[in-house]
Amino acid sequence: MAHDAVPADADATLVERAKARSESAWAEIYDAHYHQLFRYCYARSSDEAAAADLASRVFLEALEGIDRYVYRGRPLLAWLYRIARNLVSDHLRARQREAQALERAGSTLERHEPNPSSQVHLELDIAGAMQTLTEDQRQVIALRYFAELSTAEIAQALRRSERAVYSLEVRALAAMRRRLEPEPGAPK
Amino acid sequence: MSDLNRRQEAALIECLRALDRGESLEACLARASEDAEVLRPLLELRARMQAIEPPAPGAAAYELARQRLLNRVRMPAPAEPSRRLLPALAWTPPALFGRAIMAGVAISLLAGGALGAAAAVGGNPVSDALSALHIIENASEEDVRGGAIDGEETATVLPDSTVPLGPPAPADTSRPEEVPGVGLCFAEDKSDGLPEDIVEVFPDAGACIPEALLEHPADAAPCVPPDLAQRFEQPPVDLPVCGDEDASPAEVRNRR
Repeated sequence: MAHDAVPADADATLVERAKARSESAWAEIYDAHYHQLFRYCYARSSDEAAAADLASRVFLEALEGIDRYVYRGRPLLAWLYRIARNLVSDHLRARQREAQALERAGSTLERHEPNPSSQVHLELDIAGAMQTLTEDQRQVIALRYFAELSTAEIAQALRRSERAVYSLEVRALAAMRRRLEPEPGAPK
Repeated sequence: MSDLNRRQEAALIECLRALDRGESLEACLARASEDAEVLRPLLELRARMQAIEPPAPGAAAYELARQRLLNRVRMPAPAEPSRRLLPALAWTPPALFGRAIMAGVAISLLAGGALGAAAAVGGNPVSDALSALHIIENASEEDVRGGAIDGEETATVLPDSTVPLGPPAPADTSRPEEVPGVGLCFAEDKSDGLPEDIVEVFPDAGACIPEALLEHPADAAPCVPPDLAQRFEQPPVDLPVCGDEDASPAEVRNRR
């Protein structure tokens, strides 16, 4: 499912309209990017409800920060992605603190787990395998296979060269394969 | 770490490029025949992952969030207090150089030396290393206060300026302080003088260089963001520029 890319010059105009708090501009921004951001947040959190909340908050944060945003030719999505990345990081840290607190309290409650009803077997395995990746590798996998960004778009979002993005993807695939399809006798 | 040798990595990268151009998997593997046995399972994993359809957001959640956003757009924008507490001259290129040095030193610490030394004594290597240079203080989470937008918690902001952090020193709002979970933050808004692409600006917190920028990129040498390398008269550190690892910041700057 390919997203409808917004041409760069259209982005410049859209940013100006958004700064002027045009409802139609913000509706366009939302409609153009919500699904990608949701899928990115889902890839990182493995939680549909959390992903919906996080994706929603990306746009609210963008609205708060639009006056300080300066368009310099980089796609608006790259900026929205950075907001999403920060929100996801905060969310994961909070979730980890909650889990640790429950553990310290000797709670018998189960830790937060992804909603199993919404995932197929491979998705669950991929979510687990992604935990073995470096942060940058996880970003590339989430943006490539969940948010379905092109290599060029990922490079813009991560401020890296396309070759660096490919390199990260290659290493991520190798690491995920080791986790998903371990050699007989190899530690998982 | 990868089980692939350099040749196999390069071959796989070329395969990925080819697949993105629309070539077939078999055509790619035919060109890398000596590594096909190693590359095939990885490319097949990639294909399986591409075939997964991520969940779509629920229609109700989509519409609810959309309305929420548009309702917020309709609200009158809050009057922003002036954050320009320093005259614009504070951000002339010579002054920018000083600011960049502080940010650049933080980045340079990740190049190994100070970071390794700090790591040797344990604790948080970044915090320890930067503390050694009296650039940041070890702010704990209790030292920060949360900001709020419509009652929701936002990212952490600066420590309370009335609480001294670390060794006593004259108040110097020109120095950034490390805010856990955020990055290196100036006490006053410096966003006008720093590249927007690398600066996160949080309400009431001034300008922050994101924590992500301070992390050692595990998959590449530490690097300077291109905007930082290009915006200052002198590159802040002798590191390659991100995305252009073969060039030094000075070389990238001189190309422009």
